[in-house]
Amino acid sequence: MWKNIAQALGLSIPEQQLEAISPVLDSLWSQTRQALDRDLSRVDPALTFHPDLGGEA
Amino acid sequence: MTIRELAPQIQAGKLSPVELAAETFRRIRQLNPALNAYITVLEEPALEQARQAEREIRTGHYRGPLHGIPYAAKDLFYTRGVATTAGSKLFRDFVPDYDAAVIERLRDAGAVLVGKAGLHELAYGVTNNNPHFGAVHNPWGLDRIPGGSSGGSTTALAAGLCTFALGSDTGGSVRIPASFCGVTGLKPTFGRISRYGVFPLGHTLDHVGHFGQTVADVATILEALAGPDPRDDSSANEPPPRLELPADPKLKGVRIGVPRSYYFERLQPEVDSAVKAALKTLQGLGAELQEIEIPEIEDFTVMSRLILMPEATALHRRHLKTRRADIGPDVLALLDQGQFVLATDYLDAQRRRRQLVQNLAKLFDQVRVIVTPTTPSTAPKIGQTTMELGGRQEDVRLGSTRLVRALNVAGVPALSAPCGFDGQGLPIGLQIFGRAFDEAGVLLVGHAYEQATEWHKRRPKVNAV
Repeated sequence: MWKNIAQALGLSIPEQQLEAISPVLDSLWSQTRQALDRDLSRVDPALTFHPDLGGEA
Repeated sequence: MTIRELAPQIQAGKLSPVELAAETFRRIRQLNPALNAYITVLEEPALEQARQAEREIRTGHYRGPLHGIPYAAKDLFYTRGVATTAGSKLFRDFVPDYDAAVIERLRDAGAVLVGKAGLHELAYGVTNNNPHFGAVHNPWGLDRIPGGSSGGSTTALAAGLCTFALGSDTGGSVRIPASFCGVTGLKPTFGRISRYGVFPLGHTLDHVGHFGQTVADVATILEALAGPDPRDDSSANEPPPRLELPADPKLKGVRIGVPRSYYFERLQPEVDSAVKAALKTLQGLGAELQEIEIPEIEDFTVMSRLILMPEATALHRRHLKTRRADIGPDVLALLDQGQFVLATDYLDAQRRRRQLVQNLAKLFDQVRVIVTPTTPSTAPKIGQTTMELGGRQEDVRLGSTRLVRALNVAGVPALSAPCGFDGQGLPIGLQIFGRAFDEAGVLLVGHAYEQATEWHKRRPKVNAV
């Protein structure tokens, strides 16, 4: 799966390195689905934007 | 010697800041080749700062307890005119044209910067086995990692190559090396200390922290570093805390939470017994121990990874395309992994974080602080990738961060203080954490424990190469 995604996104990860991280991604994906399997739509993600803070681009 | 021991002598003119700096550099010359604690040593500028401190004190302009005290800064704090590498080949030649806010504050306090300490590449790891600047060695066992990512800072402090040190903590990078090197480290509340001029790793998880030889020293440093800074969007509008630590502290009436599940599972037996002995000591000082359960604690760790990975990868995405060969293999793997986290998962992780933190906050209505081990083991060997804990093989990186990274998600203040040694003479750390902005409670309990024990007084014997 990760190989197909990497190709589709044009991520230039050499095959050997992709194979090495694939089990980690599998594990994280499975943990993520379990941990986020709940209704969070009413919780603010708390990421804020301050229109007055232009700052440096 | 500690800050609290040195400062009165410096103030009274009995100890020269120049002599103190010179002695620090003598030790650095002698021991740094074996330890590799520093990436850059700043002898001439530091001696000039020390001479200035001496002149000021002699003429009645004593600035306070850090005046003339030598310190190390992890090499991700911007220092004007001095290379700031972030432990990375990508930034080997980067020379900032301004100082980090904490460097400014310490200069204003009269502290003397003696060097830039080594770290895990880009602060993204716990071993400090840096492919570009070499491994940093633990002074308690040169074949051991110091922990990371602030391992150069703790190695320098433990070996007497500075009197205090600055670090940063995104997933345990202050507390892990404090535990492995037998020094006291504080990750204050998120927003308590300005991050202006600090190389970021995870914007919503990064904390500036610091190390001292005692809890009292850590309190003194916090008073100098803390406070609002409009240049840092995450800086909290909280005044610096006033931390008065009694000489003979008692903990009568202080309730301490002990989360038996999760935090006391799969520990090196000596860590387990040292922390349980520490809890008895705290009880003996009058504290009331209360068994608690931190709701959904395992989810904190998952959220920590879901948040950190894309935040770190976003920072370095350009380098993944253009300079892959200049990034070490372990950090490269982590940065690659971050490219696969969905934006929706990242945002939901931030939402979930808020729920988890609200649940944790409710616990502090029942107890003032929570006490746990800092790390499940003492320092692993350099190059070791797995460790056996509770009959199970565990990745060194995941194992070392298992008990600390939730508190970056929570943003609450957390201290690691020495609480024993294992059979090989390696230090064990005690983690004490509390409600957001209650550094006073965390430090009070840590100080009381320290006053009742001698662990923090032990120093490693390091032989010069």
